[in-house]
Amino acid sequence: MTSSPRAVLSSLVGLCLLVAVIILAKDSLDGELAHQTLWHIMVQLQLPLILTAALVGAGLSVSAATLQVTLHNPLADPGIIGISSGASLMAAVVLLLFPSSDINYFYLLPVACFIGALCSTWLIYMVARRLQASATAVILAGIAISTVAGAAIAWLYLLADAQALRNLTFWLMGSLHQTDWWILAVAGPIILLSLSYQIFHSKTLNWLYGGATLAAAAGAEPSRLVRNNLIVCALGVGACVSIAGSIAFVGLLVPHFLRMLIGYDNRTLLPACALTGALVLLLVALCSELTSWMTLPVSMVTATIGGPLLLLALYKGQWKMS
Amino acid sequence: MIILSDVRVNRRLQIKNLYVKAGTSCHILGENGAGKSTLLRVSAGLLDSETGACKFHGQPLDAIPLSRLATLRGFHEQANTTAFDIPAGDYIDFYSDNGALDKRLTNALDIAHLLHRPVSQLSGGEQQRINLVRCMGQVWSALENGKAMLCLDEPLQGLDVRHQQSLLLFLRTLCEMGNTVLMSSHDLNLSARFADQVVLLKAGNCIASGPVETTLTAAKLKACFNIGFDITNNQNALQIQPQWPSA
Repeated sequence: MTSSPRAVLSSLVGLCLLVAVIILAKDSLDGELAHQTLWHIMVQLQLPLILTAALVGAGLSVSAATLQVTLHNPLADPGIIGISSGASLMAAVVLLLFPSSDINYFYLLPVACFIGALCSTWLIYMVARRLQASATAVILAGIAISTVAGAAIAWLYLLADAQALRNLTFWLMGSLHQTDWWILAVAGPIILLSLSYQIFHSKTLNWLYGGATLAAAAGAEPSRLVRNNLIVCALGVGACVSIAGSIAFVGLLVPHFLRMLIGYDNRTLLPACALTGALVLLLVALCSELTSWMTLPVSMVTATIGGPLLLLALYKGQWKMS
Repeated sequence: MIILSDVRVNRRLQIKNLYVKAGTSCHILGENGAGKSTLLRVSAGLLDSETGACKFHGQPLDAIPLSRLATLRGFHEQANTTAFDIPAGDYIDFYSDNGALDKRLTNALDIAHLLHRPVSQLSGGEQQRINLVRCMGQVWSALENGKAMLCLDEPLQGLDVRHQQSLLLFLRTLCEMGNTVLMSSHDLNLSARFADQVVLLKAGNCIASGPVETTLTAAKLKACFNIGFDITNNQNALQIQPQWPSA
C-alpha cells in the first residue's frame, strides 16, 4: 500500500515552506520590535537557521539512504560507518585543547570538523580497499574508526575544564544555531552538489539493491559506482556535521519511514528523503525557537520524536504483511 | 554465438577454446570450485580475463558499451538476496527498462502471485524464480528478437521438480528463438536431457566439451568427478547413476 509519490513530494514541499514561513514570521507578531531589528533578526538569524536546518536534514537523510543501499545494510547511517566520528574528534580537540579565551571558535570549528570528517572517510576507504571493499568491510572499518575516535574523545575529557566540556557536549548533540552566511556559502554548495549527484544517479542506485554484481550486469561500472557513492556521501555528511554537529537518528529514521510510505524506488525515494529530512530539522528548529528560554540539543529532539515514530511505522508495516 | 579463446583468470580458470553456437543451450558441469561461476562471469563480461578474449556475436565483450551489453546479456547470480523488504515486482522493474513484464515470462516461472510480496520474505526457491525473471526481464526485448545471451549460475538450485521442468522448457523455447544459454548445473540427468552442449570443468580446465552423447560418457565423467557412473540409454534418454562405494 503506497501513496502516490507525486502527492507525497508536493505535500512535503508545502509543509517545508509552511514551517519556514512560521519561523520567519514568528517574531513579527511581537509588535514591540523596531522594524530594523526585525529585519536584522530575519536576515542574520532566522534565514541562516532555516537554510542550515533544511540543508543538513536533506543532506543527512539522502546520504543515509544512499549508504544503506550501497552497503547492503538497512542499518547503515553516516554515524555508524564513522564519517561523523572524525568530525567529532576534531571538534573535541579544538574545543578541549584550545582555551576559549585564545581563539574564536566560530569559523575554526567547522573547518576543523570538515577536515576530520574527510580524514576518517579516507581512513575507512583505505582500510576497506585493502579488504577488497566488501560492504561488511566498510562498515567494520567505520565502527573501528568510530571506536578509536570515541576513545580519543574520552581521553580528552580528562584534560578539559568544565566550560569546554559543556561546549563539546552541546556540539556532540548537534546544534542548528552555529552558522552564518559565510559558513553557509561554503558548506551549502558542497551539500547541494552531493545531493544533486545522488538524486541524479538514483536510477543506478536502484541496481545496487541486488548487489554490486547485478549492478554491473545492469550496465554500471561497479567499483566506480560504490566508490563514488561513498565519496559523495562523505563530502555531504562531512559538510553537514561541520556546520551542525553530530545529529543522530535522522539518517536512520527518515529513509526507512519513507520506504514504508512510498516504496523503494530511489528516483522518488531520494527527493522525498531530502524534503522529509529538511522538514524534520525545520520542525526541530521551530521547537527550539518556540522554547527560546533554553537551547534544545537537536539529537535530543530527533531521538525523542523519531524513535517512537519508527517503532510505530515498523509495527504497522509488519502487521500489514502478515 | 559465444567464443572464448585463451582465457585465463589467475589460476582459477584456463580455457583454451570454447565455442557455443547461437540458439543452443550449453551446460557447465564440474565439482564445487571447479571454476563454473568464474567461467560464467567471464562469459558475461563481468570479470576481466588476464589473457585472451571473449566474443559475443563476433564482437569482443570489452568493446561493447556496458549499457548496450546490459540489454543483450542477462546474468543470474548464484544465491543472490537483497537485504531490503522490496516488493518482488518493484525489484524486477528496477532492472528492466521495458515497463510491464511479459505474461509469457511471469507464467513460465509462475511468479504472478509473488509480485506484491517482499523479496526477503519469500522462500529460497521463490526468490530464485524472482531472480530468474529479473535476469530475463532485463534483456526481454533482445530475447524476443532471439539476439540475447543468458549466463545463469545454477538456475536450478532450490527449484522444485515442477519449476525445474518449466524453467528448462522455457529456456529451450528461448533457444529455439535464437538465444544462447550458458548455465551451470549439478543435475547430470537434467543436463543430459536439456543441454545441446556440455562442458566438463576440472580445476579451471575444460576437460571435455561437446554434445551430450559424446561428452557425458562414463570415462569422462569419472575423470571430472573422481567417482564411477553407470550410464544406460533408455528410449534415447541417457540415465546417469553415480556408483556408490560398496559397504
